[in-house]
Amino acid sequence: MNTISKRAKILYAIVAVCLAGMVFLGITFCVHGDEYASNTRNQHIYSGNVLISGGRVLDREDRVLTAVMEGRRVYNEDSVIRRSTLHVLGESGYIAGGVLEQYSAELIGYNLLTGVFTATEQGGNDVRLTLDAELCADAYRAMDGRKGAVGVYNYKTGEIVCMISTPAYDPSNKPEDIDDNEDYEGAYLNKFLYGQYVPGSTFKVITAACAVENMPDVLTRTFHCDGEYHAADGTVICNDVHGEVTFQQAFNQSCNSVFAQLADELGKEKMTATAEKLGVASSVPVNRSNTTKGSYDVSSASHADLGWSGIGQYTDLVNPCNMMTLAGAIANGGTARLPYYVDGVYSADGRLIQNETSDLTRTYMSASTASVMKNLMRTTVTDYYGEGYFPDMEMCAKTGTAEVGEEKRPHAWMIGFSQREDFPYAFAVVVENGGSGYSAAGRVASRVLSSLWDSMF
Amino acid sequence: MAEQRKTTRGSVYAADTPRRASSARRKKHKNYIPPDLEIKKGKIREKIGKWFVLMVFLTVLELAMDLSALNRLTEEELPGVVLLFGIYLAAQWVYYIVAGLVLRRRMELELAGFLLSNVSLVITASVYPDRLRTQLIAVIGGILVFAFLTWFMGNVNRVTVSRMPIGIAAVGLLALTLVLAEYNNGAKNWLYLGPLSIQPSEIVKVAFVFVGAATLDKLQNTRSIAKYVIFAMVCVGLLFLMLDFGTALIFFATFLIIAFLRSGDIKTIVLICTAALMGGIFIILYKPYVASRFSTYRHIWEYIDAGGMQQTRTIIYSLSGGLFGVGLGNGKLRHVFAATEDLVFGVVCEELGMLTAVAIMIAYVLFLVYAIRGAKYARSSFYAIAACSAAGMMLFQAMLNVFGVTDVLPFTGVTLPFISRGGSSMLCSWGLLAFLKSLDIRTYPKVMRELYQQKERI
Amino acid sequence: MDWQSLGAYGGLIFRVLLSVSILFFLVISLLLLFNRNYGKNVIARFINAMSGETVDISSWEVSLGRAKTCDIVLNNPTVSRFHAVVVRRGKGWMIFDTNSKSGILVNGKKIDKRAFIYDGDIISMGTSVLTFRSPLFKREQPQKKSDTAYQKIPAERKVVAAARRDSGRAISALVNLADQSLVLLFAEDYIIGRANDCDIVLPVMTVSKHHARLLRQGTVWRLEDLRSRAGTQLNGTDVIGSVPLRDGDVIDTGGVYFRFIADYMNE
Repeated sequence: MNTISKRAKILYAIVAVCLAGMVFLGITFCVHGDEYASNTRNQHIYSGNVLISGGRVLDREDRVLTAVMEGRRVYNEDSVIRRSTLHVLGESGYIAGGVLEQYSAELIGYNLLTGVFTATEQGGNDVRLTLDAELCADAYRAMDGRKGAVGVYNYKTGEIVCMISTPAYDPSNKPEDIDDNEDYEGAYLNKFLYGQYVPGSTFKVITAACAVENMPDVLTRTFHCDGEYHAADGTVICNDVHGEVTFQQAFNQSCNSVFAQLADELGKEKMTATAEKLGVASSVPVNRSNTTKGSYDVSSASHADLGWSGIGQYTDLVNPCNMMTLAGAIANGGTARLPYYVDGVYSADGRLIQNETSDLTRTYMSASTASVMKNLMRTTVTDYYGEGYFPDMEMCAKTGTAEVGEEKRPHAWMIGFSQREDFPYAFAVVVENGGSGYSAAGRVASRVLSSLWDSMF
Repeated sequence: MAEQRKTTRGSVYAADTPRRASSARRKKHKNYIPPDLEIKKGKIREKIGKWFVLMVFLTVLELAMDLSALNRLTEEELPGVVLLFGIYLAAQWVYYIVAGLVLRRRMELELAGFLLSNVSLVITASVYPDRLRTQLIAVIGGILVFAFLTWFMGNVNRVTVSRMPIGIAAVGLLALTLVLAEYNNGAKNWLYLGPLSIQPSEIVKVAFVFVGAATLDKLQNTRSIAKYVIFAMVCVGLLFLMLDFGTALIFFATFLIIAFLRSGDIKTIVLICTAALMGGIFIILYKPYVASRFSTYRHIWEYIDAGGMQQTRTIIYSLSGGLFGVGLGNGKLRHVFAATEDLVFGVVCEELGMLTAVAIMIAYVLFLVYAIRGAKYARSSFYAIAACSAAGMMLFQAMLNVFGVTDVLPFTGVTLPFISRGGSSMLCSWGLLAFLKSLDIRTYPKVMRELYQQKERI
Repeated sequence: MDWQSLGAYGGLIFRVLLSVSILFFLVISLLLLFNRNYGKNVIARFINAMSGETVDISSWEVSLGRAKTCDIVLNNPTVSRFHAVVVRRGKGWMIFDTNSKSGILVNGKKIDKRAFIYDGDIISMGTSVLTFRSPLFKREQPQKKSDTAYQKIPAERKVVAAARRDSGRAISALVNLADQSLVLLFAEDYIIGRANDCDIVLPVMTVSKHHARLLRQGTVWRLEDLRSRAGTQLNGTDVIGSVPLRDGDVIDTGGVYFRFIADYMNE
């Protein structure tokens, strides 16, 4: 009898394998539980692609942007707010990178012990954003049906207070012709985070920074603009004949000849290096997303091409959020506070469960370069455009009018920031085919920032 | 006077010689009766108190489960289901009265079996109330099979005589299935007899253990293992031809267990495993159909709506249940194909909670641990081998099911013993439980009596 | 808290209790299986005929052989590695010959594959001799006796006293150490051996056909080895020629031990 009993002891190996497997399964569940449980195939919390359970998404003033009522998803009562916050919320299967998708596990309040109980029986958890829905609505109205993106953020804390992308639609009344209608082209993309645009003259910020860092005497140089810049192998046409200008004046007046010349003088390597340092072709992490990279590639550019690249044409592409962050860097002494729009996850009774704020920073340039750039951008407002659009705000800005082809009107750009300590906001506005940077983008920026100013003072 | 000296003619010593004095020490009086037995009317009996308490606890538990299963039923379905639940409860009490009170048997294994079967009934009632009757018949049939087999194996003579005919019948049944059966979801393992559909391999599983286990006289006869290996390979081969790879694997694993218990020869086992592994790899490389069944392994999320559908849903809904479940009737996994058969582990996790699912796994583990520890006290090596391989087979099958459906192992369509809906599976599970029951000599009072009636000191 | 969430929490508590109870119940009822209070009762015994060593048997199946994995290991080259299996089967005990080279003798008779054994049977495997004891299972009819004075029943004192008076001297005896049986030496001359024509027949393989001789010379019994294969030992030393026996001597004829009693009446 003992022979069998001794041999039987080997069967403990099966027990051991079983227990090991269960431990492995348990660990898999612990590590990946959130991810798997909030999969869109989970019909406890999803119906089709729509998240039909879980908490609310709130703006910074506790306005409800979206919630679940009686098993259906509902949005804010104001249709403009609905449209302006569409992209930040996202729509599963259509608009990627939205809060509903990225924070589904938090909204559900999934945990290993009670599974989806928090979602289905307790109403889940709320996600609070740093955005101001009314401000977003104002920005949407300011765009007036035109396509583009607007973003405003506090460059000291990193909180984005306004982020919109147009065209947008009403999630409660999704238009049937959305796929065919030209007006809705690009409606599924959050252009502020993921768009790429020709920068136009806003690129001169980069070119200027390159010059400031590499040409010690550039601030004292004078240039001559006769309407064109003649590179060795081509011509860059200027927007005006500026005559004799200093570097600062050239920047203020956005003289193409000067900056094309500077780009050509600086050369491919230095321009590429600065472009890279200033984040043109890199990505900024914004909560759980990453902005789309722009591009600056002059590897096979001729001198003329290099010149064009220096004024934001050629093959240059930038992302609006990256540009806003760059503005924030200049405002903040060369080191940007990286932007974010999700503040945190809160329980239904207001307790903070998970902090989603970001304290990331990135250094774009030295403090001295930043202060020179700040001055350049300040004088653009004081000496050239005037403070009409931004009264009392001590705004520093740069506009851009980006050519996108002969048949179409150029994109209108404006980036900038206020240097007031009590109004530490940076912004980026791009109006597709808007025409003049100052009048189109500037007007939008003016409306948005005035609205923001009024809400504060 | 008797000198203990070694001579050329050898000495005698036993592998486990108990010292003579110790048995005298343990004997308080002439016949030693352990505390949980008593002598009444000249017969040795079990004390009954604890079984009653456990039966009451079980009934309360089952009532709680049954009531919580009623929440999704329509008014028409309700009375039928309640009646069937009532019949099951009554059946358990009848068993308790007959076996526990009258015959005075121990009931641990039965209690566990009752609870596990109840889980299957409750899930069936909640998901397919119209098929509850069939499932209940299967459970009661299983209990009857259990009782019959336990009685049948009481007599070692009966057992030794019947092994050969059972072996032949088993091979015959498998061969018949191969010839007659139709394909059902990729495997040819079902026979349809009128309104009934049975899986003959489940019945053959019980026979396989029966044939594999052997009394010590057969074991020491070194020629008999060759016959058994041929028998086992024939069974595995037939199952392979039926394309039921999961069951073939279970049979193979059980064969390894039995072969090792019988011969103790680890070298041969390793050799067989290597040969099987090489054969398996060969088949996977050259038969693309077989390989495609394993293509989704560890990639289920990439095929989330295709080949990985069942596994991903199982994981998603198991997690949704948390430790305590969303409650019977509130689950969503039940709408997925084969939810009550192959994916039933996920249904248990989702609706009854992962704690319950873990409890079920612990039950299978404890069955095997009991068999291993009990092998020392078995009446014959037949019972020791049978119990260990039956419990090993059951745990192995449970592992294949649970780990296959959660992508820890490749998905093979095997059922979860006692919990999966299905008549053949339920009968087989109770049949295997009978081997565990027969391991314990306390099941057979006549044998027990002999132990305690040695009035003379030898 | 409103009714709906109260219901939700109630449901959760119910589910907690239910799953914990299921776990508890399954674990408890199965752990009950593990208590095993009955000890190992001895149900049979093997006695080594040569050394008197005993082995208690408390299980229903016992394997015997030279291999170390056997339950009873016989360290004897004439015994096969897996020689025999003794099992409790049906109405009694059985012994199975599991492919042994030299076969098995039960009470001197070679068995064919399997045989029933009873209390007191002598089992020979190779040169190992074991006596089997299990008081519940006795043979119904007594072992066939040979026509010699080899008796299992202790003699009546009256008979012995009468013989003593008749012959005028003490009656000696031999006690078989294996089974405590008695051989009374009424006559003068006894041949001990395996052959049927011997006076004391020992049906053991290691005993030669004509193994030894007991001869009375006056009041002294003498022991002589008849050129047996295994030899004859007296108190452990080999017997060469003829040696006198004294009371209490132990005689070893081919593995069968006897104690010599000079005067049975005064024992």
